Formats: sequence, C-alpha cells, structure tokens
Amino acid sequence: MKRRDFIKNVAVGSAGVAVSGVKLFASPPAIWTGQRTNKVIILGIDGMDPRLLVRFVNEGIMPNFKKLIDRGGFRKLGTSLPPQSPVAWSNFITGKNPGGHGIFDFIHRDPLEFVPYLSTTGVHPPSKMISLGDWRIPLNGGKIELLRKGQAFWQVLEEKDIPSLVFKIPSNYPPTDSNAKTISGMGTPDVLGTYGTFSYYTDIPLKNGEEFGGGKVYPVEVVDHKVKAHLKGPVNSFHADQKPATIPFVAYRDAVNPVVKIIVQGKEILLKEGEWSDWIRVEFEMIPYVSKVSGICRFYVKQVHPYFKLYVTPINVDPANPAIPISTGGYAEELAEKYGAFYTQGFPEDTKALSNGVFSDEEYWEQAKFVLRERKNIFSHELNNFHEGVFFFYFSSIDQDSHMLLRMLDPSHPLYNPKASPDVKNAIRHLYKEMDEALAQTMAKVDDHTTLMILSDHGFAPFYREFHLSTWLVKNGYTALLDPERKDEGDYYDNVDWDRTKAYALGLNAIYINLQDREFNGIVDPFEAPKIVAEIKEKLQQAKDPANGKKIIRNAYLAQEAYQGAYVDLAPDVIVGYAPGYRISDTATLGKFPKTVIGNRKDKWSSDHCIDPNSVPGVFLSNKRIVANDPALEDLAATIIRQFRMEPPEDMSDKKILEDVQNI
Amino acid sequence: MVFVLKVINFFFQIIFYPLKFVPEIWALIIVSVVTGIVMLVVFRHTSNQKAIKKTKDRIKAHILELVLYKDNFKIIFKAIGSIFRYNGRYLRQTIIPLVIVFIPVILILIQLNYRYQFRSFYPGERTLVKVKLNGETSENFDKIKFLNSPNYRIETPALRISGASELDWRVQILNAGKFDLIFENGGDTIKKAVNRTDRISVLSPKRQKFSFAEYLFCPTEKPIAENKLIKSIEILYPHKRMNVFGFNVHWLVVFFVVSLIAAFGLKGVFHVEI
Repeated sequence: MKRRDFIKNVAVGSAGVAVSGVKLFASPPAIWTGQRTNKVIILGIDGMDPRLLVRFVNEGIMPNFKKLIDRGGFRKLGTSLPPQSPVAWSNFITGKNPGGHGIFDFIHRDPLEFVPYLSTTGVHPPSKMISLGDWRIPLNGGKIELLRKGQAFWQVLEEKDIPSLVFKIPSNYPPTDSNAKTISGMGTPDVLGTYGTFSYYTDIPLKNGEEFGGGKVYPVEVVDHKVKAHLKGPVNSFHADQKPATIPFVAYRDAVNPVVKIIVQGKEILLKEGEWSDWIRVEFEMIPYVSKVSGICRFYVKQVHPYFKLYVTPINVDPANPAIPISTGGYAEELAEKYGAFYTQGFPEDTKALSNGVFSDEEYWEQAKFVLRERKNIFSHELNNFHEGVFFFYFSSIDQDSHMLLRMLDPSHPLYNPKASPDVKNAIRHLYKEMDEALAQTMAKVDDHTTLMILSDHGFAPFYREFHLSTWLVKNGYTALLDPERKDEGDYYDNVDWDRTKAYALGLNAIYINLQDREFNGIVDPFEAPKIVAEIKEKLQQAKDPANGKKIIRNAYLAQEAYQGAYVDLAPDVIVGYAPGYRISDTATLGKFPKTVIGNRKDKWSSDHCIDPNSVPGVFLSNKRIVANDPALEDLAATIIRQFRMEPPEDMSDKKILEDVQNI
Repeated sequence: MVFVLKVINFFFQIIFYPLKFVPEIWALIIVSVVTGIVMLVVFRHTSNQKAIKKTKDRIKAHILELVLYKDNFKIIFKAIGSIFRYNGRYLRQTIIPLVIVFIPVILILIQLNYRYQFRSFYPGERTLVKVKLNGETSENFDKIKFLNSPNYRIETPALRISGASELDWRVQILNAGKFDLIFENGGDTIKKAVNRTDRISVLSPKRQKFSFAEYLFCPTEKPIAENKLIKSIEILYPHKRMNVFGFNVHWLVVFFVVSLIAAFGLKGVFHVEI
C-alpha cells in the first residue's frame, strides 16, 4: 500500500468510524475475521485464436492450457459485431452489445460536421482563452471524455466495496471514474495525442517519403560525425503560434566503430549499432519555469555507417508524472515507482515502423518482445500482490504481433518471408507459449475460492486481399464523386458529391446511409432507407473477387436487426462482415477512393480480424465448469459480478456461463 | 593549498566515519542539525547581538504602530518608512556574520555533495566512462587502451569525439566493493577508483589533473600527473534521490529544511539573536 493510500484509508476509515459508529463493528471486513472472500482473476489475451490455441496445445507447447481444456473449461467465445477490439472490449466491460454502449467501430463520424474521430475518446480543448502577447491563457479547463456508455463491471462491484485491479483494458481511456485501481490501455495516446508516432532520423531519404501514418522521418546532416536534431513534443497550446514543443538532442558517432552517443537534456546514452536504450525521461517546456510535459522514450540505433539511422519510440506519457489522465487512484504513479518507466501508449508494438519499412521483421520482433517482457514483469508482481476482489490483466502482444507476423505460419501468404530468422518464424508460437507461462503463474494463485477466466476478444484470419469498399459504393451508384477522375487524393470525403450520394463507407466495417435530417446534407428519405440498406446488403453478399471468384463478403448485417439498446440510432446502417482473407483497405477506411475495387495486400499488417464475426471467434477458458455452449463477450460482465453473489444490472446480458458459485 | 584541502578532507572523513553505521537519511539529519548549531554558534560570535536585538525591537514596534494607528495615514507611512530603514540596518548588521557562517556551510555542502549527490551502482548496472585527453586533436586516441577487469565489462568499442578530445565507453559494473578502472597509455597505467557500496561513502565521479577549484569540489582522488596524456577520467554515477517518509526528495532540500529548523528551534537554547 502506498503511503498516500494508507493516509487516505486511515482518514476515510476514521471518518467512517465517527459517522457510522456501531455499524462498522456490525459487519467487520472479512480480512479481520479470517473469512475467505471470492476472487476472480481474468487474463485478457487480445487476439488469441481458438484454432491456433488448439494447434499449439496439440503440439505440446502449452501444457497449462491443456490442463484447463482437459477439465472441460474451454469454449469458443462469440465476439462482437464488428469484431474490432474497441467494440469487443466494450461488450465485455459493459455486458452490452454495441447498441447499448455506443462503440460501433474504431472510427465514428459526426453526421453534422462530418469529421471522423476515434470512437472511444472525445477531446475538447478549453473553450475560452485570452491572449497575452504570444501567450494564450485558458480560462476554463479542457476535457478528455470516455465515449463508451454503460457501467463497467468493476463499477458495479464497487457498490459492494469489492476491490478491482484493471490493467490496461481497452476502451477505457480516459479511465472511467472509479475507486478501482485502473490504468488505461488501447486508446491511450502518446504525448503528441496520437496512437503512437515514432521518429526516425536519417541522412538517407526513405522511398515512402517523410511522413506516414504512425511515424515521421526527420532528414539530418552528419557533420564531423555529429548530428543535431529535435524530439518533437505536443503542440504548445499556450503559445499563439501553436507550434509543437521540442527538445534538442545531439548524437555523436565514432568515425569507424559502430557506436553512437546521444545527449538529451543532460543525459548521455552510448549505444552500439542494433542496440536499444532504456527508457529515457524527457520534459517538454510549455511555459518556461511553470509548466512542463513529461514523457518517456527509447532510442534504437539502427545503423551507424555508412548511413546514420536512429529510431525513437513514440514519446509515451510518463507514468510517474502523467500529463493526461491515464489511471485512477494514482495507479500509474504507483506502478512507475515500483517498476520504473513502461509503455503507456495504447498500442505499444510499433507495427507502423514495420509497415513503413523502418523496421525489418527482426527489429520489429525485438521491440515486440521487449513490450511483452515489460508487461509480464508487471503482471508477475501485481499478481503476487493480489489478494481479494477482481484482477484483470490485459496482454496486447498476440493481437498486434499476429497482425504483423502470423503470415510466418502461412507459407502460402504472399508476404511470407522465407529468409526471416527462425526466431521470427516462431514468433507466434513463442507468444502462445509465453501466455502458457503466464497461466502457470496464475494457477499458482488460484485456490478453491478463485474463479479464473481467460478470454480473447476475437481470433485471427489472413488478410490477402484488400477491398476498397468506398470505390465499390461508387461503382454501384451509392456514392457520387465530384470529380470521378480524382479518386485517391484529397482529404476526408472532399471529393464526394453529397447531393447525389445515397450511402458512404467510413471505418473498417461500416456503411452509413446519407439520411435526411441526420447527415448534414442527407438526401435519402427515411422511408426509402430500408430499401437501400437491403439492396446494399444483397449486393455486398454477392460481391466476388475477380481474381479467383471467391466471395468477398461473408455476411452483411443491418444495425436495426443486430443491435439493441439506447444508442442503436448512432450505429452504422450496414455492418460489413468480410470473408477470411479479405478486409477493407486502409485508404477506403477514411473516405478515399482508390481506382480499383480490390487489390493485393502489400502492407505487412497482413492478418486481421475486422471481418465477419463468425469467422474469428475468441477463446474462453475457466477453472470452473462452463455450462453454456456458445458464450459471448457480453455475457461475461454479469458472470464476473455473479461470482460475488451480486445481481448484475438489468440491462446487462445475464446468460448463465459458469457453474453456480459454491463457496464464499 | 593542497595540504589545507587534505587537512579539511581528513577532518571531515573523521567526522563522517561514525555516520557510516547509521541509515543515510538519519546521517543527513544529524549532519543538518549539527550544521544548524554550527551556524548559530558562528553567527553569535561574529555578530553584534545587542544591536540586532535593538533593531528587531524597533521593527516590531513600528509594525505595532501600523496596527494601532491604522486610521492615521501619516503615522502609517512614517512607520512603513521606518520599517524599511530598520530592515536595511538589520541586513547590514547580519550580512557579514552570514557570509562568515556560509564558509563552514559551503565546506559541509561540498563534503555532503560527494556523499549524497550520487549513489553507487547496483551489480549489473551500466554507465558511461569518459576520458579526456590533452589538446584538441584526435591523433592520440589510439594511444589509450581501456582494459577489462573482473569488476566491470566494457560493452562498446570506444566512441571518439575529436573536437572534444574525448573517448567514451559503456561499461557494466559487475561486483561490489572498491575497484579501479584501468587505462594504459604507452606502458603507463592510469587508474580511476570506483566505489560500489551500499553505505554512505565518498563517490568521486572524476579524476583529473590538478586545479584548485576542481580539487576543492572533487577532492577524493590524487590528481593525474601533469605529464600524462589523459587529462581526466570520469564515470557517470547515477544521481541519488532520498526517500523521506515516502517522498523522493533531493538531499539539499532535506539539508536546508532540517538545518534551518534546527537553527531556529535551538536559537533560544544557545541564546542567539537572529
């Protein structure tokens, strides 16, 4: 217990004694009486695929999972529609389908202003500012808002004072208000406010240009073996010109030896070619001597000679001094004090560096292994310190690394790399084995009073061919373009002729009708919409790949049929369930219009799950007998709550999943 | 002058010796309290105590005037002027004693600095070793050899910065205890002491050729001989943060807070007018 927690507890406890008097003694905490309380341990393993799990269990590399499976505690777990992580984890957290929690895709749109935004988080800068010379002083606070609706299961539990520890669960940034110890996961930005933007300093131009999603290339000059450059920080909103804050650094390289020294804010780091630094704490000055933003980053010397190549991780929010709300109850600071700096950004594996050719497969895998080591270190210690309530721990590695490296298990994949190192070829196998070791550690903590649940939000499928859904809508007469010749250029939807557009695609699986009185320039009469929706569904399900005649779409779903809850009206009108091997292209996701309807996937992000949910179920394992044959993510929140003999809220899915709780 | 510095260092080594056996936070608190007392005693004997008391009494009287005659602007302005005048007098009366007080305080701070500024290494920890050579050319770089030892492992080849005549290496510290970093230059061996201990001890980051100021602030190692090619050898010790009742603070904060509390708290005991 941290000192401040201790003081707080003593203070609150004293006040409680004063106020409640005898009541306190009428029901003393279980820990005073020696009475055992139920515990629930949940391992959230993003992207664990049931087919791969069975395969590796059969190969004999996952003996601990085998024990659980042999005891009958294994089912495929129904994922969300669509099977995207923010949607799926929101189902799990709230016990509702997307109609109940309002998260339908990674990306949503405001139908009036038509600006796409990240579905789980709203950022509102201060609305009133005054200018003093070059400086702008906010008169009210800005706001970062969690857009997921519905009560989280740990909020329900705390009504009965059941403590929870929730480590990096997705769709929880900023962390929902709670007495539980939580730290946010997927959705947590870096200090730039992005999902993670790495920096790459080099004196050789990259063929992809200097700027791409997830990274920025800084051309540098090497003069007398010395490089001067800057780390780019957050935009300084206090300054009138709104420029980013920067930190200068210098790198010296030896004339011959493959070694580089980096000096940043008085810290000196000496690295050989191919080496990573530890976490380095940096501070961006926003107002001199008054306001600083603290961040952490790691340096990687990719090459010293003949060309200088230096990679810097996205600058993560410093958990010891977070500039944005990433945890509740000071949990981030507590973790930083115990374990030092660690990745706080939602997606720590740098998939963009691999996609854009900055990392090789081997370099990506090294970075990814570091993420897992760091995560497992925290896991081991936090698990050891867990004694009551709920312990939820999230592992991102299988998901992110399957996106990038699952192709190594598939020699028929066009992006299979036969020259990759054995380490990379075995990467996925290694990850599943690591999860087995995590399970072994967990089992050591499991007693008769503990319910263990292991779940994944979805499985995985190959991603061979990318479907340009936006162009398909153009070709089929639903989206109209102002200039049909100008397709793959410009900003979001700026080439769309809204006066002639009946439907448009946005996000990974969504199609919206350009509906009157809903969209800013809607033309479709609400009475006509069902007909158009049905027509699109029908046509999508018949779409075939001209290269091989295979169906591209396995299923298309209508929101009004698939969802229930208070937010169904915000849902996309059609949800597209791609067949395995296919997915929407990245360009089509944000309203661009490539010239063709379908093409080969060339990005190393080459496996995916944002397809038809029936093709990518997750896994569910427990030490208790699973009585349901087809459990789904949204059934688990109520199941957790019932482990403490509490009634879940009425609007939660309350299907019986596990055998009844016997012990208290 | 070196002799004087050696005597001062020896004196402080004797003073600090018993504190090796006390937890470091308590050792710092003890030193801070003693410093507070030393400040009091020195101040008392170097200041005109009667005059200071008289000046302070005048200031108090004029402050009372402000309270009593708050409706009379003439008296208030006069009182404010008098308060400023007597404050100036107070500063004049205390400035020389304070300067004298600061001489032992600075010496104590220097001694505390190389005991509390840095912490020693954990086994396995990595750090940088920097060697600076005479002159500004790179022609002598190859004449310096950094030798491995069972106490540390050299992890990188030398990084040579010609403009600064500097060679850098990264080393991993392997063992506890005192040991030397060993360099070779044309048959000569030059060493730099490293101390890896959990107790309060003198940690000197730099060994260099003699200069009074440097020797004053880094007085624990014999200067490098003037005729050597190596000008200085530096090892980057990690900075120490002190854990004071759950808070990580810089040792200077502890020192100033405790010594000032001690000085003000004990001024009555020692009959000192501050």
